[in-house]
Parts: sequence; structure tokens; C-alpha cells
Amino acid sequence: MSFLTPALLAGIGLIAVPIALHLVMRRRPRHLEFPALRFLQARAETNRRQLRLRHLLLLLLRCAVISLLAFALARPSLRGSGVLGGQEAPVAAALLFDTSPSMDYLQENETRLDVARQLGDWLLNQLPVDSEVAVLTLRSGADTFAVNRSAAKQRIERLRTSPVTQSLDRRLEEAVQLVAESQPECKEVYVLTDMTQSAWGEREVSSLAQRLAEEPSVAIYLVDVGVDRPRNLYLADLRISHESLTAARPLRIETSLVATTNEAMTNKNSCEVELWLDGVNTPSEKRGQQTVTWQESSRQKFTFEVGSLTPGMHQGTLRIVGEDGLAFDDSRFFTVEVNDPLPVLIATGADAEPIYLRSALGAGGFDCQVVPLDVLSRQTLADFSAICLLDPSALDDATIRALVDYAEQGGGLAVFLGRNAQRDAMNRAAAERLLPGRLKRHAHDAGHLSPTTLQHRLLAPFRHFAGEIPWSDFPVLTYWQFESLADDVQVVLPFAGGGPALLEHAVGSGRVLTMTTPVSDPANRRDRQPWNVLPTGFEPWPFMLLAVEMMTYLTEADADRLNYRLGETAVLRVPSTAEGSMFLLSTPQGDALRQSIDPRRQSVVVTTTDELGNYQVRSGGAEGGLRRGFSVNVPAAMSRIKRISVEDLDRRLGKDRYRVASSRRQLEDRVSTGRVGLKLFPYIMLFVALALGLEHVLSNRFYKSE
Amino acid sequence: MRVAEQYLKPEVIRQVSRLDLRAQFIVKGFMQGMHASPFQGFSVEFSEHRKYTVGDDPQDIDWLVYAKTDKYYVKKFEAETNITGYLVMDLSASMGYTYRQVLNKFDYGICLAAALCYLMIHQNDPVGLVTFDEKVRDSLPPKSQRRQIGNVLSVLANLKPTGRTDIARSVTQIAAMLKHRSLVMLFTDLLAETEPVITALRRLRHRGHDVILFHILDEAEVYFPFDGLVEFHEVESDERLQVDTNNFRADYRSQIEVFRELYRRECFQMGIDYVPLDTSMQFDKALTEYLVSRRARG
Repeated sequence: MSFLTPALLAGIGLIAVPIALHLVMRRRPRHLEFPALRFLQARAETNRRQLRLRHLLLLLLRCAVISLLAFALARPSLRGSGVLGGQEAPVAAALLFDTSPSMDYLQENETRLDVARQLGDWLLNQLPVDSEVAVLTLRSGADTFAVNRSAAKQRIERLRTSPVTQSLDRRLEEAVQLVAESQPECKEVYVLTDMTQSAWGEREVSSLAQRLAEEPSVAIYLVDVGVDRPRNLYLADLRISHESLTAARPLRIETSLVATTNEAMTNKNSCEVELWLDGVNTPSEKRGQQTVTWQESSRQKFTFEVGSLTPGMHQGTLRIVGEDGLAFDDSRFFTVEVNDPLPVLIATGADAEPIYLRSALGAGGFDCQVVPLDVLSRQTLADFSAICLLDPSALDDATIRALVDYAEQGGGLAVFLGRNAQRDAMNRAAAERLLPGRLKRHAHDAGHLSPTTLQHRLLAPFRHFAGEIPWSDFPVLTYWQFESLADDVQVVLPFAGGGPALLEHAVGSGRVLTMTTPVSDPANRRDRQPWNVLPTGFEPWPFMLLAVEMMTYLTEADADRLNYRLGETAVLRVPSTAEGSMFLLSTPQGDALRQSIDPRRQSVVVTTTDELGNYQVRSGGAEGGLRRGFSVNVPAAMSRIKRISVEDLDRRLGKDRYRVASSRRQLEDRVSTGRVGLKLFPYIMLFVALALGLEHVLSNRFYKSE
Repeated sequence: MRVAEQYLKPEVIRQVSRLDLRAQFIVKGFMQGMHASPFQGFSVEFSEHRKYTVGDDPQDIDWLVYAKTDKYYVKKFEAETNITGYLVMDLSASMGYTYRQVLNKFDYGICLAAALCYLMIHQNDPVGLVTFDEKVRDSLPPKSQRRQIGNVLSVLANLKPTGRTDIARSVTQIAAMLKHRSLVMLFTDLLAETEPVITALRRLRHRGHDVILFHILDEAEVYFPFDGLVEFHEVESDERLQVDTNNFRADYRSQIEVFRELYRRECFQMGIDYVPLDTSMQFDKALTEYLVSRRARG
């Protein structure tokens, strides 16, 4: 409650007049003689009480009339933001524009941001002269008031959506703080938003409601520029089989098409999705197209598989054909690197048969070299992407040292334990963390491989065949049991009997995979029974796939991440052989930025990943220079353009703490109510008239004779 | 309206200052208004002839006299028995009250008393006068000579309503005073405790007296014409009471009605003629009451 002319409230003091009149100038009764007084006496007391009540009632009415008049003349208003500010007093206003990608939603040829821009511009013109205006977006920056109105206007014109955003909660809090610290009495924050849930943080910021409660003078207006029933098709996050793969292996890309359910779209429930791929120097070409049909469920999974990729970097785009309201999430980007066959060293223990592993890896695009374990120490281990120890016997200290060094440098090591392993000798290796734990004994209760979940990245390709893999056709008879496992050891694959079959642990920056049963036992030896028939059973494709995935996993440890989310810092390592200290970054928009290589990390660090699409990093000449790239995608959560509920807003901002307007008229109405408050003058005058009328009637009735 | 009848109205009689004239006018007006002679029927002994006047019953015309004289004469009769009448006046201060300043209750009562005295003397009935306030003050022994009119009127004319009153005690005193059965005509406003008054009246009646109770109230006391805030003052008890009269009227009237009804009922049971009057009423009502009573006794 505030008053335009609070001084006039002093007029309430005038109620002293009727009170004084009531006390001092009591009405003198007429004095009459009357002999029949006895007939009056019985009712006299009741009468006197009534009389006093009437007098009091009249007095109250008269006082009410005077106070109401004074009150009305003071021009009260409800919930005005300023005590002194009238409608024309300058205000401090912050225009916070929601610049999340969903503001690009196109309807009637206007994006939501266009509408917000127009409203913001109009709002600027409505603000009283000398008002201070700040134009804020969801990108945090130096939040200050604009120098003048035209500067603010210019800022509004230049607004663009940005995928990298802070949550509205946080920005609103900052806007409130900015406005609260300003001079004018009247403080307002306008949030021009399409009211999508995603723009507000995942969880409410408790400090916002607190801040709003602390600053009751700051009026909050939510200007709703959203559409009632947004329709949107988008591609969910991509799942790429390998970011780094060999030429022989196909690339598998899996994603889902998601439709925001809407009755307008029910008659059309399929759409085309295209896969475009380009090499380093090759133009973009379409490598696949699918018609994706969605049923009742609005999410439909689909997969693209691309084979025979040439070595080098490949960047691609998955694109929904056609247009919908929101364009930014119709495309998804990815980058993969196809390598030349990677060299793998297979060191075989005595009597171990390397042919199974070698042929499996060969088919997977690996270049295998087989040496006896004894000569391992003579090899230059750093030349190999991964090393496999097939049924190793006791390792000498020099070999153990060399292998540990190799792993610590980031190399991948696979150890297939078998009949050659001797517990004591091996436990020395275990002491150096080459093995995940101390060996205990042979065990015979394995059954077969039995992955309970396929969560490990290594097992990702098996997910397609989940339930169809005939693990039980490849029984495991004997395996090594460990006494105890270190804390950081992860069981990748267990046996049906419960014991671990495949274990992973890290040594330095490298990975070590340990399989507790060998893959080098021929099936048809008469003198001994094989420990398992994994590589020798009928059509042993699970073994082959597992072997390839193990090697891929080990060699990938060294690889860079190529696919990022918005706002993440991309790091690409540069081979030490690369020349020059500068590189050229090409952004999806086509800008070329020159940046320097971080010499300490020997890598290219890109922090400005605020555009969606494929980035390229180049340095050196066209021939033999560095050619790498990465992709930046928006999180799928941003595409959910569900409107925020009133309850949610109430929870975040506090009930009745904000006003929502969706048109100029509503805004005008809300703002004038907010700024000046609900003008009570006419209502109070109505009461004054009522009280006056009542007073008149009563006094006439009471004092008829006078 | 004929001139004489106008004198039945209190506002007219007020303009006549002499009490004897007032009495005469009232009686004349009264007689003229009656279709039948008020004297006919309650006296049986022939006394004289007198000329026929308008209002006399034609049946009474003595056709023998007419045959002899060619003039209308009516036979005049004389009562066989005389009734001793006592005019009893209440002298309380409250009797002096008037609101409209026409006639106060006391004046009204005196006019009535004078007229009745006049009538009675004409009937050759002896009339006496008793006045009382807290006790009996003056008394004039009953006589039937014409002179008595003058005596009564001169006493009445000099009376002033002052002081407190005790109706019950006075009535009891009067009952003890009267030796023969008489007609007691009581002029009072009865503004006193009801129970002792009724008891006293019962005693009076018990002694064989005929009683006519002229209950005279002021017009304002009956109709309560007041408005607004008024402080009432009662002279006798010197009590004051401030009331808002507007919502009091109905209540007051019902109280008065209850009061009168009580006396009406009690008097009926006792065989007393109760005549409720107020100062705005014409005098003939009171006179008729007397005559009816007189006839019943005749």
C-alpha cells in the first residue's frame, strides 16, 4: 500500500471534530413536564441504551466519512513498488532476455526472440524519462545499465540466441541485484521468455527466492512470448560406436528421433533423416537416409552404419529433412578419426597358440606382430599401440619394469592368464600392479562368460545382440582366481559361476585388461584338456568381437575426445612432431580464428565452443600438416520445450511475487498496477458515499423532530 | 352545527371565562344535541306543564291542553326520589397539566363538574362538592336550592391544582364521610398506584354509593405526540427522565391502554361507571354518562 500524497493522510486527524462535538456539544433535550412519567420508566433504561448506541453509531459513521475522505484524497494504491514514485517517476529497469535456443522457435514467421525484441523495444519507449535501463541476456557478462536509451535499443537489436546459457534463475537473481542497487525508487525486472522449462535451471536456486524476498521493492514481470502448443522434432544425443577406429571397422551411429506430441502432427508421423559425411579434403556427401516412423511413443530409435571410411578425420551431420518450429536441434554433429591399422604386439608364453587372437585382431584392422615372451624385453614397446601377453609364464624383473613403464606412459596391456602362470612368480608382477591382484588358485566353477550388464564401454557393441549371444556354447573349464582385488579394479565381465573373467585396472595413464582364462588353448590336443573353448568353439564370433573390442578399448585410451557438448572445453593433442606453434580454428559459422598451441600440454585448447556444429583445427601446410576436428552438440534437454508450470514458478520465485503478461495490453495493465498500484480512489469514494448516505438516513431517523 | 353545541368542545368553552356561563353553555349545548329530552323517563310524578320545545318527545304533548289553548304543552314530571350527588375533585398538581394549552385536566374537570351541578340542581337533586389532594380539603354539603349552583361554582372557580395527591386515602376518607347513599362523581387523572385506589373505590362502592369515575387524562398523555429527545419532569415526585420519544410512542400508548383497561375491568366488576376522558373530547360524553346513571337509579 502506498500513497500519492501521503501528507493528506493527516486529514484523518479531523475526526477529532465530530468526537469533540459528540463530547462537548451534546444535544440538549427539550424539557417538558409530563405527569404520566410512570409509564415511561419501565422502558427508560432500554431506551437510553439504544440512544447511546445510536449516538455512537452516528459518531462512528461521521468519523468514518472523514477518515475515508482523507484516505481517498491521499490517493492510495495497492502494492505499488515505490513509496514516492508516481507513474512518471524514473524507474530502474532490467530487461532480461531469455536467449536460450528455444527462443528461436518460429511461428508466423517470427522467432520468439523477435517477439521479445519488439516487446522489449516497446517497453523501452514506455519507461518514464530518465529511467535507467539494463539489457541482460542469459550469458553472464558485465551487467550494467545502458548509457542511454538508444544504447539499450541497439543492444536489443543485436540480441541473438546462444546455446551456452546460464539458467534464468541465476540471471534473474543477478538482475534483481543490479536493479536493487540502483538509485530510483521504482525498480523493475522484466523477464522476456518463452517460459520453457529448460531455460530455468534443472533445480531451483534457493537463493533466488531468498533474494526476491529480501528485495520486496523490485517488481518482477514475466513477459511470456512463448507459444501455447509448440511442436518440435529433434534428434536425441548421438551414440557413436567409436570416435577413433580403424579403416576396417564400420562406424555405427545410434540416436533417437523425438517428437513433441501435438495433435497437429498426428497425421504426419514419419520423417526423413539424412546422414552427411565429409572427409578432410572431400566435399560433403550423403551417406545414408532413413525414414523414421514414430508410433504412439514419441521417441523412436534408429541406427546408421557407415563402412569403408578412409583413414583420417571424418565429420558428419545427422539431419532431419524438412522444417519445424525449432531448427537448432534438427541436426546433430559428430567427428570420428579413422586410423591406419594399429600395431599390436602379441607376446606368447611357452606352448601358447597365438593364431586365434592374431586372426581375430587382424580381421578387426590391427597389425599384429607375434614374439615369444622371452624376447619381449628386446622390443621397442613404444612402437606398439597395445601389447598382449598370451599365457605368460614367470616374467623377469626387466620385462615387468618395461611393461609397467609402457603402461604408465598410456599404453594398453592385455594379459591372458593360463596354464603357464606360476603363482609366486606372477605375484611379483602383481606387486608391481601389472596384475589386478595376487593369484590364488585354479578354479573350475566358471561355467561360461556371463555378462550381467553391458554397461562397460568395451561391451557397447554387444548391446545390439543382448540376449542373442550364445555364451553358454563356449564353456570355460578352468580359470585363475585372485586372492583379493585392489579397490580400483573393475570387473568387466564375470563368469556364470560368479568369478571374474575380465578385469580392468589402470596403471599410470594406461589401461591393463586381465583375462583370467587363456585364449591360446587349441581344442584338439590329446595330452591336455583346454581351459576353455572360447576361441575354438563353433563359430566363435563372440570371442572375436570381444578381442577386437578389448584392443580398441586399450588403444583408445590414448585417443582424444572428439565430440563435445556446448560450452565444454575441447582439447586435442598435437603430435610432438607437428610444426609451428599456431593453429587455425574454423568454426561452424565459417569464421577462422588463429590461436596458439598450448606448449605445456602440447595440445590445442578451444574454450569457445558456443556454436553448434563441426569445428576444424589446422596447422602446418596443406601436405603433412595437422588436420583434426571436433563436434559440438547441444544437450537434448535443451530441446524439450515444455512450458514451465505455475507451481514451479511459484516455487522458484515465491507465490504472488511476480506478474505474468503476454501482450502489450496486459503488460501495460500489470505494470501500471505494479508501478502505481491498484488505484483505490474510486472504491474509497464509493464507501464515502455509502457512509454519507447511511449517516444521513440514520441522523434523519434519529432526530426527526429537529 | 348549531351554536349551542359548539360549547361542548373544550377549545370553544375555553374562550368563555366565567365558570357559570361555561356550565350553562355546556348544558345548553348538550340538551340541544339530544333528540330526546334527557329528563324524560326517570321521574314519574307530574309537576307542571311547560311549553313544548324542539327536542321534546311529541308523545309527551298534552293534547287536552292543546285542545283548550291551541298551544303545545308538554307534561313535566318530577322525580319521586332525590339523589344526593357529590362532585369530588382531585386537586393534585398533575391535574394542572396541559400540553396544547387548551384546557388542562383540572379545567376540563371543573367545566364538567359545573355542568353536572347545573343539571342536577335543575333536577332538584342536592349537590355537594368535595375536593382532595393528599386528604380531603374542602367540602360543600349537598343542597338542592338554586343558590347551591352559585356556591359550588364559586368554590370550583377558586380551586387550584397544587401539590401531591393520595387518591386512595382521600377516597377512603370520603367513603367514611358520606352518611347516605349518594352518587359520587370522581374527577381525577388516577396517576397513582393502582392497587390502593382500586381498593378504596371498592370500599366506597361497598358502602352502597353509586360511583361515576371520570378518568381525565390530558390529550398528550393519551396520544404521546412528542418527538425527538425530551427530558420529562414530573412535578409531584420531581422525577426527571430523558428519553428518545420516537421509538417510545407505541410502547407508551400500549402502557396507557393497559392502565385504562385495568380500571375499566375493575370498575365493571365493582359496578362503577368508568368514563375514560381526555381533554380533547367533547363534554357530552361525560354528561350522558351521568344521565344514564341517573336514569338507572330513577
